[in-house]
Amino acid sequence: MKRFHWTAPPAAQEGHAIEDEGAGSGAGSAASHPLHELPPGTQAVVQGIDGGYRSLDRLSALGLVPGTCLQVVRSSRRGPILVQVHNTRVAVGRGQADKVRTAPLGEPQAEERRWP
Amino acid sequence: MAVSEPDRSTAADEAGAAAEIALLGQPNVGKSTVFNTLTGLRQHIGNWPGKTVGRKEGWIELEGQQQRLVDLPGSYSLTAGSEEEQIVRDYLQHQQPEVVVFLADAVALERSLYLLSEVLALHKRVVVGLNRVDVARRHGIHVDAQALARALGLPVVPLVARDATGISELLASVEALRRAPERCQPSPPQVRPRSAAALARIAERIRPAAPAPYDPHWLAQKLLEGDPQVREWAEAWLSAAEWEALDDELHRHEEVVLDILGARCDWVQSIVQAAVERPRAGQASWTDRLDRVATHSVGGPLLLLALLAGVLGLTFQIALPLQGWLDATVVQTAAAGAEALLAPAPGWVSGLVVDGVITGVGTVLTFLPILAIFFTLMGLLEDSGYLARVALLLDRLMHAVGLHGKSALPLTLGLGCNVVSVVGTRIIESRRERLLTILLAPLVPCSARLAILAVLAPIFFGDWALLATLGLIGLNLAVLAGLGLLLHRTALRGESSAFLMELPLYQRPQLRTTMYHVYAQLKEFVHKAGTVIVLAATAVWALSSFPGPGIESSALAQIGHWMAPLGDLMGLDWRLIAALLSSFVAKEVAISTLGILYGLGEGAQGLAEALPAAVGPASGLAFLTVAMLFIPCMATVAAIRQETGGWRWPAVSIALLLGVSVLGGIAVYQGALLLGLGGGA
Ligand SMILES: Nc1nc2c(ncn2[C@@H]2O[C@H](COP(=O)(O)OP(=O)(O)OP(=O)(O)O)[C@@H](O)[C@H]2O)c(=O)[nH]1
Ligand SMILES: [Mg+2]
Repeated sequence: MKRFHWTAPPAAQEGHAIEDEGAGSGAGSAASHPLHELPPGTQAVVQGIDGGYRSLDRLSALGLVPGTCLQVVRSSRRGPILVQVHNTRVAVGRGQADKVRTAPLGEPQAEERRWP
Repeated sequence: MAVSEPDRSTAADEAGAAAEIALLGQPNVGKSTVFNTLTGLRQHIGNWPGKTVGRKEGWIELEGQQQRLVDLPGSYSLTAGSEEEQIVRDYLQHQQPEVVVFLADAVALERSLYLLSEVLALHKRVVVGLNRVDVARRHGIHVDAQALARALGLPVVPLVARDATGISELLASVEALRRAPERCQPSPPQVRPRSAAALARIAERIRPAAPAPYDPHWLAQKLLEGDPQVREWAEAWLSAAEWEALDDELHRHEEVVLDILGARCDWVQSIVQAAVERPRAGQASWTDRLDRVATHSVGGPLLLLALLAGVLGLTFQIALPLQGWLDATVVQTAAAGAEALLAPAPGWVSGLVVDGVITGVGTVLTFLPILAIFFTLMGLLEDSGYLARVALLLDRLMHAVGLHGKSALPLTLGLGCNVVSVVGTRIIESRRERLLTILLAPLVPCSARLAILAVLAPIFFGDWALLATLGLIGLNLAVLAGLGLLLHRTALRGESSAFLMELPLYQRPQLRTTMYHVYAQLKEFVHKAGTVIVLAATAVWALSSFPGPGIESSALAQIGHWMAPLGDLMGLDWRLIAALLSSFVAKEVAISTLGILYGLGEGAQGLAEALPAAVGPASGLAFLTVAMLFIPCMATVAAIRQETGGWRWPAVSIALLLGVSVLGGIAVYQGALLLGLGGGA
């Protein structure tokens, strides 16, 4: 099956990014990681989606498109990843998370990792 | 679940004839809340995506005229993935509603606008209801409705559907749009010129073959997006040679899909930038705090268990005394009254009324407190947004049986009623996973079976009731897992598909919404008691009274005696077997049957006294085991037939569960005997 590599055009990359605190600290520059490799608390910008038609449709309909800012809320060695994106939460299975290439925006926020 | 054929007949007939208003939007945005407010109906509302299945219709008054209002299921995009997406886009094309009320979520406007961009490709007369502005405000998000309207070229009305704010303005806007449709001047996303040329060429290829009402441009776009349903259509519409040429062209322009998606995202982004003001610093919201516990890899499952145990415990704690009281006063009083009243009539009349209908239906009606409290607690959990977390928590477990987290949602809802879970499997996209979930659904102990447990466990086991109840529920879940593993390894092999699900923000549950829902469920239950269960109780009474004399020479006893060899293995006498068989009508009927069979001849005396004398604990345990695992009730079977489009899967389900329950019954009875529990009747 066809696997696409959807990346934001360079011009759009900045325009897309949502002005969150911490955004703009060098979006395109950092190395890219699949979503499931990011530790909890990390803020990141989506660099690209690698997947077939279905994944492209699903991920973009939920707003996980190149240029989007997100924050990893919960992530463990196994099981789905919980991300905060567009002010809401999305559970992303590992298979899908593997298709989302991200660039972290700095270190994870310590506060996020603490038990309430 | 069959691939839906494009239905060509309705389009022409109904366009214009049935001018109606449709509610559209992504899942969980509040469509049914608006629908209920406008129509006074009571569609299911809760806080998780995917409640409304199929389209629901009601009437509203617009400018003195009755107009049809349609509540559609939510969808995130209009590419055919799930059944819901097909329903929505088929509806838009075939029904061509006069006005579409598109509900957008002010909190996650990007997501709503993405869907809107797809809707605009099919329909232009759109009023945007900007919902959840209350939540947005709390999160420090400000959406400028006027700027949004300018950017979209569509009327925009801010709403808080939950407390009916803005609803009259929304209606006014719909009326205004009907009078002046030219007020809608949307400018949908534009792809780059090179892609536009490819789109146009593909549209030309399909134009001659495409039947009304399909727009060749839209078809071309969906073909380039790899839409499986449109591909199927095109293949059917075109000759083999034409299709091959088209498919070639699609291959050559494969990358255009990225441009189509990109154009949508750019469009969304430009509108968001024009209309949305974001918060400066994000302060930790309730959702953050709660999710830190609720989705924790250790704390999460513990909390889930604690909540479910709490719901059951609280239900039984409050409801059981009420239940006993109702039974002792209302049912017994009614029976005594009827008996006195019917004394002059022939014996069988009083038998029918007192021993049949009152004993039968009366016992079932004493379930009401149990159900009321259970539904209320589950409803509160649902409306709070917690229930959706179950999908996340159980995702890993579900993977073990080749499913993923989404299946956990319909299964959890099955605690209320298995029919709901069978229909609820529509949120699952893969057919294999959906079938597997449907086959497992009847093993979730539904409220009727929980009520049976609540009533019978204390009678059979006294102080050990709680332990037995938990054990039986645990057994059901263990069998569910085991059967899942087995099916996953054999008939329904396959990888679990992609798991991607929006989890709603938590909210304070609204008692009013929950109570409406509880009320609707209870009404349905009473209605069922008044129809199906009355009939079943009457039939059971008749079968157990004729030809007579005496219950031991009745028709039912005959049937029971045929099954005695099997019954003996499970320690079940013919009356218990009859009760199990009658539970096919509705699980509750098992209780009414027991009431009739054990109450006969002894007057209305209540199960509590008659049963322990007649049934030993080992038999009681075996009976409850079989009852919990038994074949799905009639309504569930009907739902399975409807959702799978045939009798094959209902038959499979019945056969599987019949086997499982009989084996379970034998194992439990023989095991209990070995452990020294007292035997049969
Ligand atoms: N705070 C707030 N909550 C709302 C508002 N509108 C709806 N809700 C809540 O959002 C949840 C979902 O509402 P529904 O009306 O069931 O949503 P739906 O769009 O019909 O959902 P599906 O049928 O699943 O697609 C419920 O808990 C509502 O009470 C609103 O304006 N503000
Ligand atoms: Mg709904």
